[in-house]
Amino acid sequence: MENKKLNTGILILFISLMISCVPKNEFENTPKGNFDALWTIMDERYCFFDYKKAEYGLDWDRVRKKYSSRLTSDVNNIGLFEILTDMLSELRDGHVNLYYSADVGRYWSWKEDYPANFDMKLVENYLGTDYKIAGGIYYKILSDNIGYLYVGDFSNTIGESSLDAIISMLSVCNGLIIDVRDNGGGSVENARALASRFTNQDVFTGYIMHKTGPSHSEFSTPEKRYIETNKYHLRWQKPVVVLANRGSYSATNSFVSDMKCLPLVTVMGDYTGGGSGMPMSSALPNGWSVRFSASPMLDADGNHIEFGVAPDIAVSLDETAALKGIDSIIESARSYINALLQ
Amino acid sequence: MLLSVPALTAQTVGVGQLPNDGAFTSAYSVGAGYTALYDSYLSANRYSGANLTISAENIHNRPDAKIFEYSETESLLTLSRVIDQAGYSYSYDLTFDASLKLDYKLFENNNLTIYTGPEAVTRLGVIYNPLNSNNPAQLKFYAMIAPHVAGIWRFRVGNYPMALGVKSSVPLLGLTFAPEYGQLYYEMYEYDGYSGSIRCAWPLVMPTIYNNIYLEFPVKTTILRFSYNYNYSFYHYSDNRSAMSNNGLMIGVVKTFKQIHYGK
Repeated sequence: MENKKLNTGILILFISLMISCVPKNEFENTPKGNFDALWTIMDERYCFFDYKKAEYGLDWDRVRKKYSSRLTSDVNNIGLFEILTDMLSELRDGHVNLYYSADVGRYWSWKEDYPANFDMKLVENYLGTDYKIAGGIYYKILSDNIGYLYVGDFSNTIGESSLDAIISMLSVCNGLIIDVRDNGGGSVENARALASRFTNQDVFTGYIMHKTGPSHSEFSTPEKRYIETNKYHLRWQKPVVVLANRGSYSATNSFVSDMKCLPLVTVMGDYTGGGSGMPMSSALPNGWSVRFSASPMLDADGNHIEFGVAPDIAVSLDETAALKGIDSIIESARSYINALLQ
Repeated sequence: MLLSVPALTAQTVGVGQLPNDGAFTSAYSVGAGYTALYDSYLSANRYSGANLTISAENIHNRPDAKIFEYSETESLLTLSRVIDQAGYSYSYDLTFDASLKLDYKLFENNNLTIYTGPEAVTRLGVIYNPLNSNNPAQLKFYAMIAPHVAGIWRFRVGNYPMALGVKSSVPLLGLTFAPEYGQLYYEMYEYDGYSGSIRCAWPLVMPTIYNNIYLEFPVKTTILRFSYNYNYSFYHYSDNRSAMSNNGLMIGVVKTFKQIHYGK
């Protein structure tokens, strides 16, 4: 009996001592290995293949053939980086980047291929030198008693007390212009914190979903997104015009899409730049880091906003007026608000 | 009215002997070793590097127990700094393992003791990859039940008493946290998407193992312990794979205490 127990114990010990190991890299650290690794990471994790196939015929298999033909076994890092960046550019996505110690691979045509519709020097004409800054937001009361906010990015936390102070200071104004032109994004949470001050009730603004597997069309059930009213702080109750351009990207794209759903808000200017995929990162065998869109956000109608949000009122920057120091988009917003008051 | 005052007193117990008469034995060790990890949610690359480990364990004799003569608690804290094969990017891992065991003596003679029993084991940890954007970290959590087995072989080299011990446990069933394939923590947090990330864990999808081999010998009034610690966990959920192995050589001290009561 004792021997049987002893044998049982020794058997359990033997089984449990079998060593398991951590998987090795699937791809070699060679030009071909890195190329294949990048193509595969994107193939399995990038979230817009189906949408972009429908929009402009993106065929990721064909992209592989096209760029692998440029690959040679003796290509150096600079050459490899160029091939990989060119391959990623086929995705037409500003959230897709390749990071190498000497460079950042990027696709910025979402902004560079379009009119700027923004000149910071013109904005400075309106801000003057006595504007106030709170939570990273520049603000001022314009001569026609309209409040003007320039929100240059959403990277820094916008404190509730800062938003209270801004709304309190501008409470005498007849309307508000929120200028998010050339705001390249930051934290969606900061954008939502700002938006929450412009509604008295929770407003459904869209969806978010994520990939549930490596195939191009495996997605979770879309989760509803809301802008929740800020019950405990000051909220704005008068007309608002949001100014956007192609430089309004990522979290700002989401902000503009959300603000469009609010009753007091009008979006003016140009299309936003897009960038609606929440990005994730991975890495190649050579250590280069890659960022890519992983979780798409949709608008309230369930449409992709990856290529931007249309303005309610399209307005372009008038170059002739700009020569006189006038920002015609800001002027259009002022006229619009003043017309609403009459 | 104070009836009694509990206090601890060190007790001399032979090398490799389990405590008796309600006493308990504590062992505290520190060490360093090698960690290898792979987490496809964070990176397509395998990382490896050095770790620092601290462990504490207590085994308590339960004189009134009918089946499980001993209860044990163990905790293990491992901090690792690992690098990818290209030497380009670092990741950091902090893992805390804790377990509670009950022991039944399977076999004992003068030289050998083998005991086994049920165990509840839990892991809490985080892997941090500073280069990543919205997926910079991966939370590790599981709580499982496991059978464990341990053996102690007491022997002498000349007149010098020594003991060689081995302990092993294989978690069999429990719950683990594992996000969906492309699910961001932001989405989980903001939209209460945690529920689908708590999953059933068992060896086919999450093989996990804890092993420890140690050598004990007395140095003056202290018992020293040199040990080799190895644990491994792997999971495959929602096409995400995560694997980590920790190896470590450790040195520590072992002391047996008996609880005594002063007063009435």
